[in-house]
Amino acid sequence: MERQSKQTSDFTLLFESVMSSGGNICLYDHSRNKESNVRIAVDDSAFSCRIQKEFPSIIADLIDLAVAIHAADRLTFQSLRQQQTQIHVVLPIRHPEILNQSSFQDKLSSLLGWATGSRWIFEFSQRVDLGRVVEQQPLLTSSDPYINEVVLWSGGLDALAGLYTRLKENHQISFMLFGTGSNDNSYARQGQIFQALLPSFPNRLNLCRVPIRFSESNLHIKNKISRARGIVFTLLGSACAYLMGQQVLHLYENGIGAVNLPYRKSAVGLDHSRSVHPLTLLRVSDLVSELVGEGFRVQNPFLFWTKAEMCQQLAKDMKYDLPALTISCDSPHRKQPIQCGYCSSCILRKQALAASRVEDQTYYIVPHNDRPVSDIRLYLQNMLTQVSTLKGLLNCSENAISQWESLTRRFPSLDDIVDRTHGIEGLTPPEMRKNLIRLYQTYVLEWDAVEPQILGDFLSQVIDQPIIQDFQMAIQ
Amino acid sequence: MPDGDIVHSRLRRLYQKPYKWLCEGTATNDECARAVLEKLKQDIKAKGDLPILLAQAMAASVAQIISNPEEARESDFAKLSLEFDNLVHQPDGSPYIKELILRAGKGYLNDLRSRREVDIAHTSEAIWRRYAHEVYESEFKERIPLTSEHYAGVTQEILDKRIEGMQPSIDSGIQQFAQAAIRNQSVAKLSMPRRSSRKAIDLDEDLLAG
Repeated sequence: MERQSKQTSDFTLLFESVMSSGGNICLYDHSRNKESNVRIAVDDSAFSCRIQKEFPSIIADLIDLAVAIHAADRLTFQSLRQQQTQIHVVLPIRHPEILNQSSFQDKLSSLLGWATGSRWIFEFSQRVDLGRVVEQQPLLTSSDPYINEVVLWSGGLDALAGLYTRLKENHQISFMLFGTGSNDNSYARQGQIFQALLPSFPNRLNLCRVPIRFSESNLHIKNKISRARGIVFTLLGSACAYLMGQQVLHLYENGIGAVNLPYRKSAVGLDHSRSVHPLTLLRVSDLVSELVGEGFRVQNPFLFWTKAEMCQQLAKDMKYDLPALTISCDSPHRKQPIQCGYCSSCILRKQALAASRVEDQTYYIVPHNDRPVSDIRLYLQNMLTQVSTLKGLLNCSENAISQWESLTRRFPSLDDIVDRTHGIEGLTPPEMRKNLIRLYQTYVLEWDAVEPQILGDFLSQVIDQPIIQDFQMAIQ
Repeated sequence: MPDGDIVHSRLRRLYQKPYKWLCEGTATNDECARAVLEKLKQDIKAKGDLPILLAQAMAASVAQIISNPEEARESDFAKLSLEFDNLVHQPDGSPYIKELILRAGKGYLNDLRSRREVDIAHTSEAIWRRYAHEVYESEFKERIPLTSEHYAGVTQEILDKRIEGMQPSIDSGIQQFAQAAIRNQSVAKLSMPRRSSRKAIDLDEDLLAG
């Protein structure tokens, strides 16, 4: 393992033109002196639904870029603890004169370095073919409905709860839900939830999917710590938003998950992903703005909401069946029950549904199935330790300034969020600090209310006395 | 949380011995601290000199932007934080080690901002010292398994007290590591702090004699 980690540091990926029918990627693993070929395809035919008559070639380049990042992130071994991986991508596109500019390259490399920890180098060459089919078919008329908001549609609970809240808050606006659906399960799930919402909100919802698919890659071991997934999703979503005439792409993610603070100090850097971190969204916004030559923003309107707060509208309308359609699990299983019930995402989901008083109709491995072999306590203990830390930091004073000092002494990265994003959030720094303090206070209070219920799931599968004591210790 | 979190539930082999000493409770606070510091020294040496270079680059940026911390503006700290990000992004190195030194640099900025730290004359040492604390906390103190019963049956509460008890010696040891690392521009020759040379008092000895 040690030997492997040290050796695997440099990769080059030579892309053929990214096509709907598939294009070849020649992958060189320099440290192993190994060459392999994989094919990748993007089905962007759904982008025929747009308002521009001509397909903007720069948006076609944005799609190619997203596909290349997805492929490179999945096909290369990237270690967070060992030597930094260097990923060299050579990609033919339509506008190398724009994407090769140093300001764009710097933004791109910095964004991906921040999100993955690896060093990314891009070399854009001139694409010489006619492009994908969707680029070659100008629209005769724009027959599609007017869209007010384009939003990422993952098939998760936040996406559902956020959308439901927005639909109920704004009775006039219509939405385009954008998903990549790059595996069959998530593709089907996105469609299923969309269909379930349609009867309640006629003529207000549209669904657009642009799946990216590998082929001939079975022999290739995929990178399991895919930290660029969120970037790929937001880049493709940005393409969708731009094609729909929007200058904003929305994504719905609760603030606790978006900021994703470490549970303990043993979690360093990308141990916790930055997929939808406010600074990631800011960097993607800057990158897309540079590419399209006008202001573009990726916005999370639920940054100051807990997941439970996002679920309150579902609770109010007693829509208990809808959350059960969504998947939160970080390691979904192939067989039923799909969701483990003990990873951090499953635990936050349970906490949110309990705190918002939504009857949880989801079937989880814990507590509904046989107890798994792995340690089911790990994530819960870590999350409860973080809650305890937050409680201690926030209870130091009633004064917001002291609370913020206490919070940022432990989590200095919160200062960066305020310093760099208060302007685009339309807030003063003190206002934004108060919002973030309130977010964490609410989260702690929610845990106080539902902790016994969440623990009940775990204790029902645990018969060993020391393990029960471990849970009790985590509560203290 | 989005895309899954990685949690570390076990101490690395390097730190098993001091953990066991702490649990057994037969060694003094000072002896336990020395056992931890010995392993911490090895760990820091293995992590190399990049944190020293980055601490010095961060210190140079601080000196350029802030002449008097009392007069520094919010925008100065925001600018410095961005500059720290850029500095850490530039060199090749383990993402983990770069994150640790970045966390140290940001911690230092936060201390300056909150007026907990006002000395900007020894910034590189102050940042590197924080880095060493980050290593200690991420590799040992906050990586100790979350369990009610530790090695030798010791409870979490007792273990917490013992860890707290050795903290002054850990702080003092790290301070000496920091001085040496910055003075030598390298961690290669880090050495353990000298043992306290307090001589046991002989009750029969006439302290006034001589």
